[in-house]
Parts: sequence; C-alpha cells; structure tokens
Amino acid sequence: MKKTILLLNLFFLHFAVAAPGIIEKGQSSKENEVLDFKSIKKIIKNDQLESIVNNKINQNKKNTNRKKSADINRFNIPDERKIWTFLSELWLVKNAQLLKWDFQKPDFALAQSFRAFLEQRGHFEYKFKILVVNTPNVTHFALPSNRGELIFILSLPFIRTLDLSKLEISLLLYEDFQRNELEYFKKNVKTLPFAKMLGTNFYKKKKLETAILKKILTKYDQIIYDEGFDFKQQFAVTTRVDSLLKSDLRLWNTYFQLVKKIADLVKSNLLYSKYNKIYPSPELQLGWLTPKSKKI
Amino acid sequence: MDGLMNKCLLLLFLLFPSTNSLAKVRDTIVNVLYLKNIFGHIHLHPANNSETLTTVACGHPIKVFKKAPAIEGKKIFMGADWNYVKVGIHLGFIKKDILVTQRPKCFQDEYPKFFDSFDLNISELYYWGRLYDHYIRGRSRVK
Repeated sequence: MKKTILLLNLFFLHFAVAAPGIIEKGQSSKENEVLDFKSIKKIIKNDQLESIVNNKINQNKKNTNRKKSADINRFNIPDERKIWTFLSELWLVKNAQLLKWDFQKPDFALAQSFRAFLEQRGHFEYKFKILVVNTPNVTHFALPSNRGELIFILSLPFIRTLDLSKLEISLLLYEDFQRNELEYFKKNVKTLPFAKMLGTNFYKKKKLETAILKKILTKYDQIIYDEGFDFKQQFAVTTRVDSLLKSDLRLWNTYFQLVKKIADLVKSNLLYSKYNKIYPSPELQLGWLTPKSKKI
Repeated sequence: MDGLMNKCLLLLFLLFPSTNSLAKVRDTIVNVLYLKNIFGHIHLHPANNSETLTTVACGHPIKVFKKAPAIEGKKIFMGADWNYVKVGIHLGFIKKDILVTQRPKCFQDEYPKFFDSFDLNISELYYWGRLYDHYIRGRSRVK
C-alpha cells in the first residue's frame, strides 16, 4: 500500500514539474503561429498597411528632427544684420546712469524737422531714434544700428550752450548720419573674434562667450567717452558732408557756421575740451571746408 | 434673522454697482494688441514721465479699451498717441506706436539663449522699457 502511495506521489511530482514546460511549449508555438508574417505578407502589402507604417516612421523621424533643429536654433547668435541695434541699446541701458537720459525733457519737434531734412536730402525709408541726454560728457553721436535704422545721442547741455536752431541740430545729426553711413564706428568697434562669432550657433558649447561681447561694449565706452574718430575718418566725413551740401548754399553756410560755433565753444568752454579728441577737430574742419583760393 | 437679512441686502447693494461697472469695462475692450519693442512700460497716466505700473516684454498680449475711465467724475484726456490698456492686474496707459495687431517676431524669441546670456537685472529691464519712452522717433518716407 505504502509503495503505491509513494509511486503515486512521485508521478504527481513529476507531472507538476513537467506541466509548465508543456504549457510554455504550447504558448510559444501559438506565438510563432501569430508572428509568422511571411504567410500574410502579401495580404498586408495588398492592404497597404506597410506603407502606412513607413509613413508613420518617417513622420516620427521628421518630428524628432524638427524638435532637435528647433532646439539647436535656440542657440543661434544674431548675424551682422541684426546685432547692432541690440548692442547699441544694450550699451545705452548699461550706461543710463552715466548718460542721464531718464529725465523730463522738452519736445523740440526734432522728429518732424529731422524727418523733413532727410527727405529733402533724398534719404528715404530711414527709421531714426534720437535720445536726448542730460550730460556734457557725450555731445552727439550716431550709434551703430541695423540696416535702415539710425540711433542718435544728443546732449541737451551741448545744444543749449550753443543755442542751436532746429536746422543746426538737423545738420549736426546729418554729419553723424554720414559718419554712420561710412561705418567708422562699426569698424573701430569690431574685433576678429566678434566678427567670427556673428551668425553662428553655440549649441555644442552650450555657453555663450560673453567676454567677446563685453569687450565690444568696452570698445563702445572707449570710442564714445575717450578715443572717438581719427583725423582721416573726420576728413572723409567733412568732405562728404561738404560735397552733399554744396548744392544748397544756404544749408552749406549754416553747416559752416555751426562748425565755427563748435570750434569757438571748444576753445572757450572747458566742459567741452574733450570734443577735439572725439571729433578732431572743428578748427581743422573749418580749414577743410573753406574754399581754396587759386593763386595766379 | 433680520440682522442677517439686512447684511445680505447691504452686501447686494454694495456689489451691484461694482459688477455693473465691471461689465461696462469688459464691454469696452476693443482689441488685443502686442508689444513690438524688446520691453515696454505701462504708465499710470498718459505721459512719458508718468509713474510705471509694470514692465512688459515683447510679444506680450495687451487688452486695449475703447476709452479711459473717468476718475472721480473727471474724464482723462488721452490724446491720439495713447491707449488705455489692461495687463494682468494693471490698468494703465501705453503708447500706441509700440503696439502691433499681430504677434511680432521678437528678438528675445528669435535668439533666446543669446538674450538670456546677458542676464539682465531688474533695473536694466526697467531702463530698457524706459528707453522707448524717451526716444524721439521718426521715419523718412518717399513722397
């Protein structure tokens, strides 16, 4: 009796161990049956399911590529066409306390007069911005800007001391405009690393080389407060304005008188003694502007 | 019970004119415009040198009202250059020429990482907005 019970136990034990294997075999054979695409490949092709799958894969690829390129584009650096207005405004913001432009000022109707002046001289489609500052440290300047845009700084103490008329202010701005057209400021400010950096992307580096841009802003400081332009550049600007205004003698005379006024001021007022360094020099300008008498 | 009733009536009485005026304000919103400059200021009064309520960034939607409300019975003269607007909780004034009808292509959206690298502080953001208040702007055109 005991033997039969023992045999039965052994039989059941063997069955319990072997049973899962049998079930697994059964399942895998079923799966093989389901996953056997070869047999239904033709049917799938006829149903165009394959092309739908391919389209979905392509779409997914496109989406991931688009996301990646959008992510890369976030690290773009503006190119030459778009950076200048931004940099100039950044410089104005960082120098707000020094330049003292955040103050209540009278409306000189400068927008209308300078607009009319530009239009009369045939300079169309220029957007200009004039920032009146309350300091004698910076007299007048045209800051680098994007194409078709002009940013001017104009000192209120300077125009008040000289008692300039609207036409004279327009002429002063016109001289700055011509200097801007010759791109002297940009040329003096630009460095090689900065020029190389423009229009590139810093996705791989992940960090912008801000030191290069800080150096540009420091160069802005140097040019505006200390160094200004050289004799050669000033000569080119003066002769250019001279030839542009010669067709209108009234304007030319006003410009000549304006330069004379500035030359006198620079000589007599210590506040503006630096002017000669920035724009060398009103005295020389008068010499360049004075018509040469021919000796027979 | 009577006391509670009285309080309810008083509350209703107080609420009625305010909801009415709110409805009026909502009715007078005529447009949603967007700031086109890098930053801009919402002013307390329609003047460049007026107190700043808040600074908004380029592309920010701004609700524009038909007309400014009368304060203490006195009408505010806005002139042709200003809009009475709502930005968040602030009701104030902003210059018309720095708003556009469609969302503009903003510098900080086009070059976000470049712009963020400058890490501007609050006073610089404020001054950048003020810059556009102080600019004397114009454009020469072909006649």
